[in-house]
Amino acid sequence: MLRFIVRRLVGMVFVLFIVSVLVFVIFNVIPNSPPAQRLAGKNATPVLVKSIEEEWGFDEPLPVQYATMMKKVFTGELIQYSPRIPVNEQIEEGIPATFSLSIGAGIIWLGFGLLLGYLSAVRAGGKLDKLLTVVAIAGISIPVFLIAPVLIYFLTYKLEIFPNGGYVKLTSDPWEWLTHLILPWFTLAVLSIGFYSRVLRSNMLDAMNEDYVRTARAKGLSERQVMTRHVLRNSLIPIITLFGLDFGATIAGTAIITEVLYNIPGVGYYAAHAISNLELPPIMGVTLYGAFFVVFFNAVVDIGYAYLDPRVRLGASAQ
Amino acid sequence: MNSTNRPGSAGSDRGPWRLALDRFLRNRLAVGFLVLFFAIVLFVLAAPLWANHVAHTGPNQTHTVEKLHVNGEVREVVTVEGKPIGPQWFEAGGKFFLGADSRLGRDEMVRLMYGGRISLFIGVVSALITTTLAVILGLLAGYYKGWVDTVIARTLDVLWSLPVLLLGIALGVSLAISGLKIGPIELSGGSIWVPILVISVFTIPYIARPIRGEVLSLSQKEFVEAAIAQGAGPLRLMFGEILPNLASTIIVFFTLSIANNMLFEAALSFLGAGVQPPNSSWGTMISIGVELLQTQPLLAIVPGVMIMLTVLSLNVIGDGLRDALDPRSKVRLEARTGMVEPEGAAV
Repeated sequence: MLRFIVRRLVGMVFVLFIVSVLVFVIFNVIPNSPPAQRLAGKNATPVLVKSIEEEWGFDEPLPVQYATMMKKVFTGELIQYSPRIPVNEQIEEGIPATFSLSIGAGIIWLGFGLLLGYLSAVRAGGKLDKLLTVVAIAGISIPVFLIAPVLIYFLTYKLEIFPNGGYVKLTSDPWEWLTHLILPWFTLAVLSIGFYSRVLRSNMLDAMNEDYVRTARAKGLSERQVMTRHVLRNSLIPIITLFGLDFGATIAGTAIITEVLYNIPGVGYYAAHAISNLELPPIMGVTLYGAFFVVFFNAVVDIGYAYLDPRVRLGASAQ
Repeated sequence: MNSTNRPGSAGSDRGPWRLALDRFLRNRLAVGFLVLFFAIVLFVLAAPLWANHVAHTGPNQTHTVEKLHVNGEVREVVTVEGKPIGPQWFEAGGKFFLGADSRLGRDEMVRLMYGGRISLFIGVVSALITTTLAVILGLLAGYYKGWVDTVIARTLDVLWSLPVLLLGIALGVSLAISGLKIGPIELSGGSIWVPILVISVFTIPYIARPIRGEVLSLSQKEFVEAAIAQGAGPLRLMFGEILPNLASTIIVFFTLSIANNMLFEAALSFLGAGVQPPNSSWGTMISIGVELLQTQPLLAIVPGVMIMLTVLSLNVIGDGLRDALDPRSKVRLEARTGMVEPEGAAV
């Protein structure tokens, strides 16, 4: 187990190194204009451009430039230039909102996904199953930038049930926190609810044909016990892996769009504003921190998975 | 259709493609969505016709001070307060059918049709590029095995585990600011080839990984051994023997990847890291439209519905093709902006 953890962590560091090199290449090597000019932003003065050029050492060889960039990221010296604010402070400020959004959405999609998937599988072929199939396919195809405007228009503007965007800290008012987040949560969760219910359904249908299920039935267990203790439990492991991967990808993906649509001042919102102002340092910072989170979460999930399932730990030698 | 000729029966005189076509045509849902998809394509192709003969305006033409004469009353396209006109349907002879898009007073319907051209173009072209590159990488990795496979497979794994939307944003913004120059390839920042390039690169693993797996198993088959015994070289084995057997998988992946890439493009464009003005796509139209959501909800919702219909029809067509071409196959590529393919479903 320890060897697996070490191997996985080494892999994680390697992937993070690749990400940082990619980010460096994306921002400092590929583009076809002076790098200091780009970093300075839209309304840069020649003085600022000159100072950025010296600060980042753009006349040095590329590996040295890379080292300078990484040093800035690790020491919190990565700053946006107009106005001059450290990027890491802005990101730290956005994290509570981003996590509130993502974790809540994750709980909702896992809960509803499992519930609907279980009901679908138990009544496979029935009316409920067919209805859920249609709902799931529709849910998978509706992009967040359609769900959110529809929900906001009808539930916020027309019926005035929910507050109009924004975010309230959990510590300052839990009720407001909840009402502000319900729509964003569901917006983010709809796609995955449909998807997870399909995956769980097909996993359970596969598991129902296994020998251990026949054994359980032969033992005289009730149908409900067979379903929950044997079929469902064995179908959950792939779901957990999937959840680990998706959760990281959501924080660094669709959550950004959701934050923009609902004006939630999280990390993604910060990045989106940097995009519209063409401010590169924040995008650089958010990409690196986001990548760290995604990769770290994937590693944690893999380790947890290996703990649950020895076959993974032992790799190919077990087969 | 000849009902006595059972598909799949030994005496069938029809080829596998014909059988697949028959199976596909029997899938009413898939055929229905195929028709819908063609309707959407026709809709965007008709953009110049509508623009020149009905709306009499272009997608980027502004109408800030123009007035419409509708049923004897005068309506301003953009009011003094900067509020654009709502949908006119056919009241103004087709002008401003869906209203104007912002204080610039551009015709939303014309923009919807032209924007759809760009969304579909980016989706199809990037899917072509991704699929081609992915198939070549998958063939090389699965055929040569050894270190070639290790290098390609590890690279794909790394690319797979990256936050693609974030890196896509980073690359999209960075290129939008300053363009690209690598050897003979030169792109200006506003070119729609920037998002095409970004999307093509970051979606390769979604197709290359399953293709590699299939090549690995195909290369163990008897027909490959037979070809080796005949003295076939690696090129003939890869492209003459293995590639034709991947055809059905490639067709399915190509269809699903158009849908996936259109969602990716919409996400990038929505955030300002994809299609740049003066070009517009459905994604950029939504980002302009949400600002007026309270008064003109259709501006954001209609392009969103267009994206959904296109993506939904491509997903259903893709599923139908998979069932028709290879009923036993379980490989899938899921269209989503979260962009993670379920390992469980591919096994």
